[in-house]
Amino acid sequence: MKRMKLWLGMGALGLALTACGNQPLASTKYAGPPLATISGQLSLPPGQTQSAPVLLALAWYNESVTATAPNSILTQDVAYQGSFPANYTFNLTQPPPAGSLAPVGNGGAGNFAYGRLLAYQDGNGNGTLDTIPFGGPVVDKVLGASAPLFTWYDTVYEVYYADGDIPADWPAGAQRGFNLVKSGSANGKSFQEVVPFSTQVPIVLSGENELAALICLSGNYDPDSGTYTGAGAVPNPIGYCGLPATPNKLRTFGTAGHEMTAGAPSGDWVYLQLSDGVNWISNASVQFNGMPVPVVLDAGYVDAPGPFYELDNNAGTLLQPGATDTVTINAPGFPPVTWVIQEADQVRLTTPGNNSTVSTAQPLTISWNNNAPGNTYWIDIEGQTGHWSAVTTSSSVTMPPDSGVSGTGSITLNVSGAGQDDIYGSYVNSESEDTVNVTFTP
Amino acid sequence: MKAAWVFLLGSLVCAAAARAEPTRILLSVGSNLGMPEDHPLHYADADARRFRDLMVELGQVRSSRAYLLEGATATTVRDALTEIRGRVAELRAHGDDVVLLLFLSSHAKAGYAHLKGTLLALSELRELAGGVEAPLRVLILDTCESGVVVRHKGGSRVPGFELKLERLPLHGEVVLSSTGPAESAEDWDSLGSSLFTHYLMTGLRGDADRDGDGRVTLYEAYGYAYRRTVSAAAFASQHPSADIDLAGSGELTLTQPGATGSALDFPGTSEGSFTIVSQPEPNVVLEVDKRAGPPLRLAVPPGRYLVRKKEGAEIGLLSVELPYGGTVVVDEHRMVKRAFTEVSMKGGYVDLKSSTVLAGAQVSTPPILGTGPRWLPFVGYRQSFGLWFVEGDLLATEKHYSSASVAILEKSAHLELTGGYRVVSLPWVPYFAVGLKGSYYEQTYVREQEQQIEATFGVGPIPPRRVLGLNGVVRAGLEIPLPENLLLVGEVQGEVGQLPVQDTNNWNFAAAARVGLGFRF
Repeated sequence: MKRMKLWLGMGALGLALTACGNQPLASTKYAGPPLATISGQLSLPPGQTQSAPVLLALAWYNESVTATAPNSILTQDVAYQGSFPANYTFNLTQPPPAGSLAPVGNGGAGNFAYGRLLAYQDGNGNGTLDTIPFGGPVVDKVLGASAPLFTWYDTVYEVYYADGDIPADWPAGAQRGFNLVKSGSANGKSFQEVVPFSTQVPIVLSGENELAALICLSGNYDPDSGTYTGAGAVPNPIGYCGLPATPNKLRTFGTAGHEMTAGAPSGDWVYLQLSDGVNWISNASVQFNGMPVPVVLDAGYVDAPGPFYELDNNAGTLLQPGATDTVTINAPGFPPVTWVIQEADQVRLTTPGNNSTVSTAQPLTISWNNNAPGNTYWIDIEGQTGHWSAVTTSSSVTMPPDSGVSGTGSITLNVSGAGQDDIYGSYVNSESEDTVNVTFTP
Repeated sequence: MKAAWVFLLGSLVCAAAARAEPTRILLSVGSNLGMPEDHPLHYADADARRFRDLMVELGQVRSSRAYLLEGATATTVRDALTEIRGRVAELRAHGDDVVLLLFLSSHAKAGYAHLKGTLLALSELRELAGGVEAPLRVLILDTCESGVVVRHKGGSRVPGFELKLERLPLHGEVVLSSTGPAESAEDWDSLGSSLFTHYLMTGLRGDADRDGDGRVTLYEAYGYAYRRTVSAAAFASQHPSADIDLAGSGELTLTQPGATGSALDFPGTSEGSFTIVSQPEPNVVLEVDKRAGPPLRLAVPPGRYLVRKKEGAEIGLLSVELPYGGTVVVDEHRMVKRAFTEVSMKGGYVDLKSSTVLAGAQVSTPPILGTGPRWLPFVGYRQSFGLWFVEGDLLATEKHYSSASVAILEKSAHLELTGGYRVVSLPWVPYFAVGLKGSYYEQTYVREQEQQIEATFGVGPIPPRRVLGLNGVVRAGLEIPLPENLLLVGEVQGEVGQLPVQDTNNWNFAAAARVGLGFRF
């Protein structure tokens, strides 16, 4: 009996000892407590299956527009397998590495980066999402993303990170650290807003080839021209990565625009290009609001080779700002396609006036006459030397002193309407633009 | 009988010519069980084993040439001698000189050895040995009535110079028996041995070395064993006898205690009756009556011993750690005096140094997979209770490693409480122990971008984690005595228990190896 009591006592002591620790010892997988957590659901498109495990990775980019060639990829080695939809969580435990950060610029201090949550199939089983060198093999297959590459008008989610001042073009409510930003279009307007991390972020495991561009190391992006070299502006929207496009898909690249330049007549235009991912298509029948859009085999655009379907109307009567336009395309070998776009609102710069002289030693306020809810305004200031830009949803923006802009130049205000796109790279949209001439003095 | 000794003396006078040492082959036979009507012996097998060990240790018998038959039967003895005969023939074919040594400890009666229900005539044994083509054969029979096999052929006085001229190698046959005809051989519990074998081996360990040349010859060994056996046997009822038929030059050296490693040295001034008892298992190893005069060296295997000296109503006690290859001087001035009654009450076991402090280092498998081994210094205390002991050890260490993006500093401290058993019958003492080990772990963390995170997110450092674990421990080790009450320990451990670790089921399996130095006091 005494011996039994002794053993019972020792057992109780053991349990008490092991129960003392609040948290277990960290293993080699420990990444620290989460600074933020993304959660949501992984789902498959109808009729698609996924048998291999699905892993998650957060890819950081310091170029939100190009959004390719991630500067760093943080992976979370939790595999999701079995039946989908499946819920997931992804912990953000560390800031993006320095290589992913870009300076805020425009007089602001600190750095920022953009991140997308990627779902992938680990092709080589190394537990890490492997990037793709230009023209190199695709090792891991990207199955889906919180913000796919070619979805400007669908709802997408990105993680914005800033370690200092908040970039001017970020949506209201953004703060230091991580921000979950929801972007998309609604009611004919594009929008961008900060949402709480409790927001469910869906990821569709569509697995198209174009998703691979999210991890390609193109290395050929020229930030000055905003173009990629090496692969050229080819009919393949991911050709700059040396990756093949998803075959047998008709792609439409088009914009309908209304522009005004002080001292010049306003003009309306429609430009469209069609491709199958390999070659340009020049034998399609294209109509804009029922009007035939003729093909120009050699439009002569240096940065955009290939045949163009285009209409020009310098009188400014082709488009009706705020109206809905329809583009129909009948290309041999492809089903007919109809795109519906919402024309952008017409905008006019109010200050500074045309041909005015402004001092850059003082803050310069640029304002305009239209502030429709949901519009995002792009301000682009070009001096004889220097350049400054901003993106905002308000009706004015202020260029800080000492921006480096000087000499004779211009201020351009641009606003986009709601367009349409697809995951294979198609986009059809509209824009409205107003430009004034200004002289910048120190 | 006397003539035989004269003959032997004559041959010993001759100096051995320079020639290759003969190859020695030993067959040591023991059988506790005799015939059904015999009371089982307690020490026959043990004596055979001890004699075999002694001859390997001191008698120039290579272990590969030392045959040991415990629980022997007539058949196994015959088989062994047949094998030896073949082996000796091979050696002789290569030109080797061979000496056959045969030791038998068993019941015997009317000229037959009683071997586990079988009978083997001692005369047959002698004939079988004679069939071995060894020029020199030595048979030592520790059995009752073994004297019947001794043929008093005797020898004749031969002038020494004649032998010198011949310079032939020593050859012939020697039979030593522990008893005379119709005499019983005595087994003594207090010695843990038969009387004759005990004194024979005591002599072979050095006490019989009368001329102090570091060698114990056949003559010295027999004379010593004879004297001590006769004087110690109850009513002087046991008289060892010998049948020696030798020719040639040189002397037959049975052991060389002076040339071996570990030994006890008794200074010339030492005088009295000393008993050397192994510790902590109190087996009497040697009993010597030392007289003032030349120093005495007794070859003893490495280990722990208690040297006892009778001093009236008191007993002087000296604890001795005899290292491998080392010698220890028996210094009577360092003896501790204890009452005779105390030593008697404890059955001869008196542990004068039952406490041990230990210090050393341990390497163990990591408690967290992929973080590398842990090196832990330790200190410990052991308290012995005869063959049993309890031990407490304290270990502590720290370890740096990294997880996915976090640098981790792990500090740990451990308290190990174990109890165990020591196998003290070997010169290097194996021990085994089981117990519990309580562990305390603390992890502190620094993220890769710690400063950036704290500045950007307005958070503090990751709080440390502190965890307790409890393991069961199994230890197996070896203790090696060193001089000056020091000892060296080496051991391996296995552990299993509970330790909360992320991404595991909290079961902790570990293995460790430890070396340390101890000091007895």
